[in-house]
Amino acid sequence: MSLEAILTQLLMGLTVGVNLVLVATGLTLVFGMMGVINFAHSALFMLGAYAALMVSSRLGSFWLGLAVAPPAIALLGAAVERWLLRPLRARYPLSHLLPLLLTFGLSLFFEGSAKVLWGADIVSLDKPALLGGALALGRVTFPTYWLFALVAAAVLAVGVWLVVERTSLGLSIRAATQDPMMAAVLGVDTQRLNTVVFALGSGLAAAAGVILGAMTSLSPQMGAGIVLDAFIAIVIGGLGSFTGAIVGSLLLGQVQSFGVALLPAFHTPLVFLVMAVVLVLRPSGLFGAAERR
Amino acid sequence: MNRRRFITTTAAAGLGAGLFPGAPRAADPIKIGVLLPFSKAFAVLGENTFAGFMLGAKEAGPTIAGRPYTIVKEDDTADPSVGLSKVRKLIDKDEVDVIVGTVHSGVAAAIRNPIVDAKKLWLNPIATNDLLAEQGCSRYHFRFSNSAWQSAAPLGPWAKAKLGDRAYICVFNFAFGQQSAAHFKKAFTEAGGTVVGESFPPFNNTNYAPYFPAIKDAKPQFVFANFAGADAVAFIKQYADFGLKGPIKVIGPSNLVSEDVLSAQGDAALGVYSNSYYTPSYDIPKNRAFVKACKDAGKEADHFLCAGYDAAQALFGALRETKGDVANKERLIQIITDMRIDSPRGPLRFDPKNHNPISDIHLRTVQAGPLRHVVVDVLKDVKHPDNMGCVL
Repeated sequence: MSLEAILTQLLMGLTVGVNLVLVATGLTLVFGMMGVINFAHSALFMLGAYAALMVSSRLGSFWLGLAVAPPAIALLGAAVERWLLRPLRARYPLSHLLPLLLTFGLSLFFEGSAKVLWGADIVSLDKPALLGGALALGRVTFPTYWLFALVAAAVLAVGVWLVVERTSLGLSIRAATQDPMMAAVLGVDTQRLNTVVFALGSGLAAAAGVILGAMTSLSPQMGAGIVLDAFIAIVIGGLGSFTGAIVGSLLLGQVQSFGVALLPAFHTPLVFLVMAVVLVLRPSGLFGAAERR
Repeated sequence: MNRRRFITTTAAAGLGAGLFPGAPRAADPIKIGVLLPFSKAFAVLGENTFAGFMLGAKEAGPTIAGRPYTIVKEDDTADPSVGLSKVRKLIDKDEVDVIVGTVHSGVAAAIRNPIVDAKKLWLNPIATNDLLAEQGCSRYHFRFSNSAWQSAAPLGPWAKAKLGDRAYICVFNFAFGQQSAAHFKKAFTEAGGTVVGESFPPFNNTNYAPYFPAIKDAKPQFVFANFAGADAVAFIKQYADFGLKGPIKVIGPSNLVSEDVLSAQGDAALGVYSNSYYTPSYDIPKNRAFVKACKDAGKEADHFLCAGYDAAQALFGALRETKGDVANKERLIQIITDMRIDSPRGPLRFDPKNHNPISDIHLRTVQAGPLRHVVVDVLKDVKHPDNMGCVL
């Protein structure tokens, strides 16, 4: 493998990895705080892409779509948490199954709605002309849009990392993901925090939906594959851990990219092999708490 | 149906059968069972096939030689187990006379035995499974699209002559992709070409970038690619984004750049070669009329509509000849086997040895303004090899 090929493969893996961070963050934080695997996450990713398509096709600007879709989906996520998930969890505090069923039902509802609203056809979210073509980075040529996707997702991911690791809000979030009960006792308003985290996760998934949607295509089922990857990433990183989600996502991006190049016949199971090895060595994932609740 | 109504209708039917044994009664409608994917990933394909069939039905009119017909629709969801239970329902409960279906090759394999065991006439508009022209063929089965072999093997010698000696194969990793890759590889190497590399991305993949450096390193003159749906959009877009499209041409079966994905692929699809038994821009009078009929029905003509339409042409044409008699299956089979169908694709007939379609294959390239397929070459009367173990 030549140096260029290695660098190209590295950049490709990084682009996918940082976008995976955006999707995985919401999954892992919601699990950490509420103990809920959010099955509707793939639908929120998809709705973000379609929201951007609606804005950009009406107003003719990809950038407006990218600016509007994530906050809009964050509001939707907040509404889901506040008016569906919270009452359900309040009435059946001991059930892990019911919130799971709720989010699964929501994912079917959102996908069905998308089909009714926009049809089952495969459609395209056009990237801006400014980001067409390719850039020469030394000896490596890389598509401009992919570079943008890498930088934009990295900026968002670093922003979220700063909020989680460096602000008092982030301190509360970290406390609540480790032990919601204790955090509540110590005066953290975990209910409000749940809404904030669900909204944040939804908005980030939507942003990834827009960024990756323009690289691929839009259809009501578009979120299924990437959310499965994000789930593998947070299992590797440790369910509920934010650092774990970042490390798991970046690792998975590289495993996929170099797996294809180095072990072409074996790259699909490779991802699961990595997950299995991590789980054998560390059953709760790389950064997971040794034992939870 | 309540019990009294059931008794009276059964009694009337028994009486009718007793008085006129075997004769079709004018009031008794012909029952046509349609089994297609109307939901999930293949929903658009099923809807279009059905729309094409209904165009043919509309042309035939509401009755055939004075006998009305009814259509019973079932959704196989492109899932073999669902298709199997739905076809049993059509045969046992609805007691249909004819079955029209389906799209997914796996579903076609699953429904084959129940249909053949019940001796129902089976018009298969789309499913490309090679087995239905080989060991799995049946005298009751007629196909209106092409076999996987027909969609890949003829590209081999053509690509060798027009695109170059060095090919790279990149197809999705399941039966259809692997079958087409094997057919293409065999035909291309027999024509004197060399396959310089192969990769098999998984089904439902949306990131093809990691495969590109290997393609570049192998220095092929073109890539034989086979993807469908969202996979095809992602592959074609990213292939262009990474700058491979200029130096390394792309060729593949029709689904790589078919009408259901072409607008989403946009300019990235320009110059991609594909083959198909049907091209909307193919300029013959029959096709001009067909494209207009599709438009009037609110559809864009494509090969799904064409195959569905031809299935209806064959069925209603044969029924007209028997004056609406569906009881005599052998006669219907003989009529369709001998039929020369005036299809929008050009002339269509069936191979008497395996009931697989024989028609021209168009080689096309995607051109701009508006984005469309332009026929660059026509391979005449392409037929599936008839020595592959088919006994009708």
